[in-house]
This record gives sequence, structure tokens and C-alpha cells, in this order.
Amino acid sequence: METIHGIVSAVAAFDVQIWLLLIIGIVLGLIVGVLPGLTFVMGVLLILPFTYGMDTITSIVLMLAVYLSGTYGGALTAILLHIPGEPNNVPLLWDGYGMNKRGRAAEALGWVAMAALVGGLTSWFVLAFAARPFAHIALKFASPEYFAIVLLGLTSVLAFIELSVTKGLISLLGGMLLTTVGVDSVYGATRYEFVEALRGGIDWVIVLVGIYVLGEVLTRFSQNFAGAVTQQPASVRTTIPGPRALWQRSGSFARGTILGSLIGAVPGAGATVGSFVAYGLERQFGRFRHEVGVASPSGVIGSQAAATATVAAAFIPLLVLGIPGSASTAVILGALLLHNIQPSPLIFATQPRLVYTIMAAMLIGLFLMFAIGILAAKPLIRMLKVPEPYVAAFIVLFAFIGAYALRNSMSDVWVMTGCALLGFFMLRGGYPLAPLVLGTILGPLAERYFITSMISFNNDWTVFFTRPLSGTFMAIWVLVLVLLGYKIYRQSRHRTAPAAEREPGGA
Amino acid sequence: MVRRYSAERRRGSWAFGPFMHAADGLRWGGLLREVAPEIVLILLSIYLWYVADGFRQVGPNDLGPDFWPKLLLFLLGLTACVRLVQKVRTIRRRQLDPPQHPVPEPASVGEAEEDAEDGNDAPIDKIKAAVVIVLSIAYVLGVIYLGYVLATFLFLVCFMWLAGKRNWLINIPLSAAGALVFAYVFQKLVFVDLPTGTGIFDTFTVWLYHLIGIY
Repeated sequence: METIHGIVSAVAAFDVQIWLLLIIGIVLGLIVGVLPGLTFVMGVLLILPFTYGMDTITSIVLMLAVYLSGTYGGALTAILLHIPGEPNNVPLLWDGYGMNKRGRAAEALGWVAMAALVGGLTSWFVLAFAARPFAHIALKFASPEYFAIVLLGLTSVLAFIELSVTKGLISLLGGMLLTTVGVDSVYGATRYEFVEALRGGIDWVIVLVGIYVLGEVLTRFSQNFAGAVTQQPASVRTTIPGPRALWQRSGSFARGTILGSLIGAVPGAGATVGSFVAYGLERQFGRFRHEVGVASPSGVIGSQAAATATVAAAFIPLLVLGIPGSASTAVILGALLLHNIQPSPLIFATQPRLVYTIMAAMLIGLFLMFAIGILAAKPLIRMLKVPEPYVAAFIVLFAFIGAYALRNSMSDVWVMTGCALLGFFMLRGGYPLAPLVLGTILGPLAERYFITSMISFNNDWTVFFTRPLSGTFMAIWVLVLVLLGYKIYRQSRHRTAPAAEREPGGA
Repeated sequence: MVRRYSAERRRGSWAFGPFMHAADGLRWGGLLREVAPEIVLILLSIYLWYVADGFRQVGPNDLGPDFWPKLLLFLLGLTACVRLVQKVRTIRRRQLDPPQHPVPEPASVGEAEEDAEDGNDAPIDKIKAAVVIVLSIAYVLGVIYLGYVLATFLFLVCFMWLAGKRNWLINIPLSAAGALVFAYVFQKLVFVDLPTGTGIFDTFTVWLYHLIGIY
């Protein structure tokens, strides 16, 4: 009841500025979703410098709006042009574009819009009504529990990545190592300050800007902006499915939203993992599994509902524990810390206005996303006519300002450029970047919670297993490790199999 | 990748590695290129471990500020060793059981599936890559010495031209407007104190700021 009252009060307190920023954020999110060279993480990072001059609430509202609609915008191009605007839109290429090829584009656009809305709304309910009880439980958490959760997040990123586990592990450890530069948060000792630029340490936001923004531009430039979009669809119409059709596909909606909400709440997994896993689930267990992969609304629903459902769920660990569940929420956490707000289980007591405004903005944002996404689909697709080199040139300017303005320091710009180069070469070497980024985000937290646990419990490492709550998290962690071990085993078997066996049709 | 593999086959040098006799066309260069990332990582881990030994020491019962980096370095070095062994074993297996017909093989050993899945399959133009890297570094240096507005203008012009957009009637006004709008928005509205450059460039930037109403 208190939550409902808080959300209603927050909506009532919305002024013109908040409404305007919410609309701008939703439109920006849809644009970055539509443009293939821009991801929604990039979108959140690009608007970061603008938020330095704003107050906490307006800046968070703007960022969450971009994040929310960014998961949906790319669906339009995936269905209409076979171009996934975002990595999480890739599953839509199979069924969404398949429906388009069979003259059912309007229907596919309707299903994807409904899936985004339903997925987002269900996940919003989880945020609104589970975050507070979770905060009550989290009050019992001490550093061992926090460490166990962070460790779970760090390990699950390896379980979810598609590439080699050892390469992912190197990337993850590299990211964690990057953040040991500077002053150690527990002992206050200086570490690895080789040059002047490293004196202030390496902020994870700088790493994110370098890897996701400048690094992406470097890659696209080196590829001569290959695959630039020139064609436009003949017509952009959306047909919303009727109640009967919705009821028939309710299982797909349920699977996608539940899975997305669960995955979103786990640090390390985001919209991309959610959409792929949900798609796989539809293919294996869905009522219409026989048609998934060709032109099935179920394939569209499952992946899109899961992708949008991850957004609100990712805010639960962010607000209650201060642990970001995804790269976008990491940037939002950076903005919160910049405004001297430290998320914790007490946030409902210390920052009620902020929490309820986030919930209210997300709810309204979902409906705005649905409406604008349908009404503005045609002009959004027209955005693809802007030549990518022009967009990329200005993205570099945003990357520069984003890094510089964080501490008004050219050192950060150098570090950001270095991270972009690191990301560029890692990508060329086949090293995944998501673990590196997650390592820089969760690495400092893991160190702090581990060292403080050791100090508090006289260097007794069994404390992580003997305390009931941390023991539970560690048990889940062991399960993830087993999954990881199985994955390594499969990868090594694949590698050792003779080449002939690996070819299609091989034994 | 297929082209590279085929070239190796034509030269008859598919099986390079320490297990071959020198007369068979031992290619240490090729082997080293394969395992270079792992060796660099192992050496880097050892060096950073040595540096961590110099961190300020605390009480005997405390783990100290060097514990965490050393733990990460140990795991990093260990993972690099595992990859090194995997690569050497794969090379050896390739020698013992070479494929009978060219199969698309990745640039690095045993990573066929990885390259296919990294989603970055468009080929990289190495010259363009070098150019854009130099341009990015030059931009950062330019901002320090020429100031934000001038460096941004020059960067935008160069970037668009090098990216293949060579219509000066669009590029020059767009770059000038972009540099001025960014400077105005961030300096005047977001209150970010952008670098003004050194010497004469500083004077020029300040004059420009007066002209467009920032100061």
C-alpha cells in the first residue's frame, strides 16, 4: 500500500520538465535502438555528460527512459529490414523478419510492441512489489553476503557468454585488475600508479565509455562502416493483436517475462542473454515450438518480452544493494554516486522520493514507449538515412566529453582512449568485452567485501559458507561453477574433435 | 582466414611448431604469433606481481593491499598457462592428424566457433584502423594544445573526410557548427570547463567564447 501511495504521489509531483525528459529519453532510446552502430548502453553513456548539470531525479529519469526504450527500438529494424539495432534483437531476425517476408510485418510489429509492454509491465510489478521486501531481507546482509552475490554475478557472466570460457575469464580478470589501479578503498594504499594519468585510479564509467562508445566507433571506422543501411521498407504499419490471439500466446508472454525478470535481477546478465535464453525456451517448450524459427509470433514475443523485462528487474539489485545488474544500470549507478547517493537496503527510508519517481517514470515510460514506438515507427526508420560516418563523428565528441567531464580531467580522456584501444584489439583477438566491463564494475565491490569480511571474521574464509544467507548464495555459485565446468568440457571436446567431425554432416 | 589457411597449405607449411624437425620447415615465427598473447599475459602477471610486492605493508594479520591484485594475477597467469598448453596441444594434434582438405580455420588455434560468434565478421581494414587510432590520439593532444573548439573542428573535418564523406560544402559547416554547439552546450549550459589550449590558441578560444556568448 505504501508503495502504491508513493508511486501515485511521485506521478502527481511530475512537473513539465520530468514529462519532457521522459519523452525525450524514450525517443532517444528508440533512436539508438534503431541505429545499428548505437547500442542502448551507448545511448545511456552518451547522455551521461548532459546529466552532470541536472539534479539526481531528472538525470535518472532521462537515463532510465533511454535504457527502457533502447531494448525495443532495434526490433523495428530487425523485423522490417533484417538489421538488429541491438544484440538483443538478433532472435527477431528469425521469426520477426520471417513474418515480414510472408507479408505479416504489421502483425509482427504489433506482437513485438505488445511483448515489450507486457514484459516491461510484469517486470515493473516485480520491482514495485518485491524490491521493498527484498530490502528488508537485505538489511540482514553483511559483507560475506554481499561478496557472495558479487561473486555469483562475476561467475554467471562466464556461464552466459557464447565464447571461450578461458578467454572470458582472462577478460574478466583483466577488467578486475584495471580497477586495482589507484588508491585502495580499504587500506588507503596506492597501487600501480605508473604514470600521472593513473593517479586518480580508473573509474568504471571511463572504461565503459572507452569500450562501448569510442571502441565501437574505431571498429566501425576500420570496417569502412560496412553494412550501412540504404534501403527503406515499403510500408510501416502496426496491427495490435486481439484479446483472443493474446490469450493463445499467453504462455510465450509468461515464459519471456518471468525469465527476463529473473535474468535481469542477476548481476552480469542483461537483455541480450534474456532474449536468447527466452527464444531457446520457446523453441524447446513452447506450445507453438514447431513453428518457432520460421515465422512464429511466439519467437517474437518470448525474446522481446524477456529483453524489456530485464530493465526493471535490473533496478532491484541496483537500488537495494548498490550492485548494478547490467552495463546500463552501472552507468546509472555512476550517476547516482556522482550525486552523492549510495544505494543500500535503507534506500526506501533515505531516498523514498527517488525510488518512487524511478518506479513511476518506468511505468509511464513503458506506455510512452509503446505509443511512440507504434506511432513514430516510420520516422524512426527514416533515421537510417543519415550516413553513419556523420553519426560516428559526433559520437566521438560525446565519448570525449563523457570521459572528460566526469572529473574535468584530461587523464580520464587518455585512460578512455587507452580502454577503447584495448577493447578494439581484444575484440579482434576474439576476447569478449562483456566480462571485462563487468570485471571493472564488480571487481572493486568484490575486493572491498572480501577484504572487509576477512578483517571482520579474523581471516576465516569459511564464513562465506557457514552463514545461512551467504551459504545459500555460495551454493548457487557452486551450481553455476558446475554449469561452467560442463561448458568448458563441451568446448574442449569440440576443440579436440577431428576437423571432419566438426563439419556439418560430420559424425 | 580461409585465405590465410590456404596460403599456408600451398606453401606446405601448415604444420608449424616445436614438434617438427627443422628440415620440415619449422616456423617458430608462426608458433610465436599463435602463443604471443598468452606469453605476454604470463610475463605481465609476473611483472605486476613483482610491483605489488612494493605496495605499503600492513600488520602481519592483515591481508594487505597487495593480496587482491596478487590473487587476480595468479588466476590470470594460470588461465594464460592453460590456454598456452591448449594451443600447443592443438598445434601438435594438427601436425599428427592434418586435415585432408582445407577447412575454414580461424587465425588462432581452436577458435573457429569463437570468431563466428563474436558478431564482428566484417573485415578490418588495417590502414583505416591505424588511421582512426592515430586520429583519436591526435584529437586528445589537439584538445590540450589547440583547445576544444579548434581541435574538435579539425577532428570532425578529418574524420568525415577519412570516412569517405568528402563533400566540403557539408563537412566544413557541419564541423564548425558541431564544434561551436558542443562548446556552447557543455561550457555554458552543463558547466563543463573545456580546455582552451595553450598560447595563441588559448587567446583564440577565449575570443571565440566571447563572440558566441559563452563568456
